[in-house]
Amino acid sequence: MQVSLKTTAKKHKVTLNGEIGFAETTALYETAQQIVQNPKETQIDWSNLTAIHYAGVQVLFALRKSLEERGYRMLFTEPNPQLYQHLHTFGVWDALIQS
Amino acid sequence: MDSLMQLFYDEANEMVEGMEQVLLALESSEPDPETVNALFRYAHSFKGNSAAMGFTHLSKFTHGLESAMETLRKEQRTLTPALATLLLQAVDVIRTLLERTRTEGDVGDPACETLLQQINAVINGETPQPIDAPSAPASAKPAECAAAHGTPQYRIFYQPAPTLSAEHNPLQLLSELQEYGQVLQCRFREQIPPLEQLKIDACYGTWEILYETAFEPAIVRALLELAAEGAETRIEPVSAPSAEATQQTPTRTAEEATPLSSTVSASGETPVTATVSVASRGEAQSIRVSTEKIDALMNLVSEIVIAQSMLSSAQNANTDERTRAAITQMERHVRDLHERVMAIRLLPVSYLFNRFPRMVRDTAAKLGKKVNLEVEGEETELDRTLLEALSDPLTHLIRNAIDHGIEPPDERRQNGKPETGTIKLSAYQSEGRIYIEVRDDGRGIDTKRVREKAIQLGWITEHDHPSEEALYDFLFQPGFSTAQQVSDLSGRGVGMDVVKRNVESLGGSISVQSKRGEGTRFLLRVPLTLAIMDGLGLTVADEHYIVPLTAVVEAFQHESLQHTALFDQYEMVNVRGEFIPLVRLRQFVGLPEADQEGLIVVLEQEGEQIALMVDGIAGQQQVVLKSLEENFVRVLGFAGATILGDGRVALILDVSDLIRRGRQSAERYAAVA
Repeated sequence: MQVSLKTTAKKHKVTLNGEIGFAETTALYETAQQIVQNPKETQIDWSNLTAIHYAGVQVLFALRKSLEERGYRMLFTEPNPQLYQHLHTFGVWDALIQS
Repeated sequence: MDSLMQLFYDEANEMVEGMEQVLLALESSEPDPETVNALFRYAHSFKGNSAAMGFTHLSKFTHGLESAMETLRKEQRTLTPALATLLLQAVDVIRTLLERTRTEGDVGDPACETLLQQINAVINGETPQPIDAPSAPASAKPAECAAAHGTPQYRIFYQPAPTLSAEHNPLQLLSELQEYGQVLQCRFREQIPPLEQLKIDACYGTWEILYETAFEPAIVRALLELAAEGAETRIEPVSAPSAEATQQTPTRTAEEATPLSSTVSASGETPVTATVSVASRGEAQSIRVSTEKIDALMNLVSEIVIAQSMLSSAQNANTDERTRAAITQMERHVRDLHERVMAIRLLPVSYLFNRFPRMVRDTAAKLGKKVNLEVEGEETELDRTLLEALSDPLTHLIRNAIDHGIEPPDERRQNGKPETGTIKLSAYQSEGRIYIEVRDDGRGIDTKRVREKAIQLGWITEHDHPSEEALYDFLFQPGFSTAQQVSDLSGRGVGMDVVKRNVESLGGSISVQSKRGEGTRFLLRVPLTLAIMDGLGLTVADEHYIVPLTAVVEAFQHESLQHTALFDQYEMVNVRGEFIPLVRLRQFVGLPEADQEGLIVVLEQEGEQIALMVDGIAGQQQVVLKSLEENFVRVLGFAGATILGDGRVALILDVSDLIRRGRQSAERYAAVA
């Protein structure tokens, strides 16, 4: 399963595995909606994620914005080096992590 | 935004559009001093307005352009294709900077200086064409301008197509750039909303890339625009790879990086003018009104039409004479009010057509073809909403015409045609509808190949020999393309079905005619407006239905001798010696047949007629169209719904669909007869 959500009293943890193509973005979007309905600090574990469609990236951006509006942080684990390089080269990493 | 600022943007956008139109006109005709003067005036006014608003970078850039145009004007230099391309790029830069000022204030772009240098150099005859010449076809060869400075660098402004899909992943497309060159610097500009407003398949980001490649810019453009229609890519050459640029690595953050410009409009809707202003500001007798205000007014008028209709139907035998007279007077005023508000919403199709000369020029250059676009009927007026909705279908049809229709110059020469192909875009009004025609003098549709492709797709068998019309219908099916090569423009089997769907969603239709070797003609028919129409109320049982009044030819009492049936199924009616297909409305909407014969209403659209049998006629009335698709789903046979004067809902019949059904009867009947 590419997208899974674990929730504790203090935070959510979303684990992303393998490849998130356009088809899998819906699952990620639904997970994000669940989080926004019950907002908490959220960790995105994408250490085992090898590729992500831009639609999925947009969901992560949107989730971060919704959480921040509610006063919660979104944190990311270190990504797979290839994925990092890919996102970094095209400016997406910087925008997602640092802004 | 305050009103002064809004006025500035409205005028500035008109000037930018004016500059583009004049440049395209200058390029395609003999230089006319008055046209060159108009170009100069646009630049001069734009400079002054920008300076007044404190946009010094814009003002400075336009001042440079104005000086270049002054040389062009005074020394009567020819506008060469290379110079036209550079000046059009300058217009693009102005447009981009203008949009950026909305959010970033007085903003500049390092590309401006380079562009001005190139423009002046070309005007003064100092250097050869510095960028990809418009006549050069796309080919995977290293760019010639690499020689002087090593590998050429380009500044790429990339706005992906607005809709994401499994095939359209901008990040994937960008990563493919790395196979053809080196990304030196990249700035990502996200405009992604919070999750609550996110549309999962909408694309919100744009990129600006400093890119080094030995390949032609056309290859880069093709890579980025291949996956989906609607991407916008602008590629500007950077004259020499600067030390600074080459030392910058992609690890720099957006804040650290040298500011790059953006192609994105930060604010939402661009206001349009309620009336068309003329070039000379002194002659304009118009005020600007936001489209939101007009839409609100239109909605209000729609509600008044319904209320007035309710009032009219509330009259009865006891209504006194004075009230009757007041209601009649009010009917007249409401009709007048409706017509006047409708007129505000109408814009000339030139508002849409003006986008195409540039697109034709660039697309033809990209494909190494020569194409002349002729435009006719630009003054024809159409509802603004319809105009905007027609933009994508027309863009697709014109691109298709250039890509598949118009032959390359040598092929045209061999076939005894002029090297330059012609695409004629025309608009006219007839029978209460607007007709838009896209006609090319290219190679025409190869029906043999269409049939072969349909067999290959399993849609027909080897034994089937569909009519020419039926073969053309295949072109509008999803997944159908006869293009031998998939290009970044067309030939991917997506598009024509979307064109048809879009036109039909506007209550319109599309047809095609073609002659091998002579060209193809696409005809789009759309209603004048989507908001209010004059309708005729029809009844079956206790239900009311509406047909557009413009489609009604006549009505008469049905007599059984007048009609003949085939297999008890396909019925025809003899109307003064002419057999017209008959559709029984009761049967059509799933009601049991009536005990007695009803009325026949003859409807006509585009020269085809249908006889509709109904129980009765409820009279003529203005109806406000409510979309079924928006509120429910698209239902075949119905164009929408409306609220009647007594508050009941009536469905509006789709005459095209009724005619299509009737045609089946006629064909069966003809086959047996």
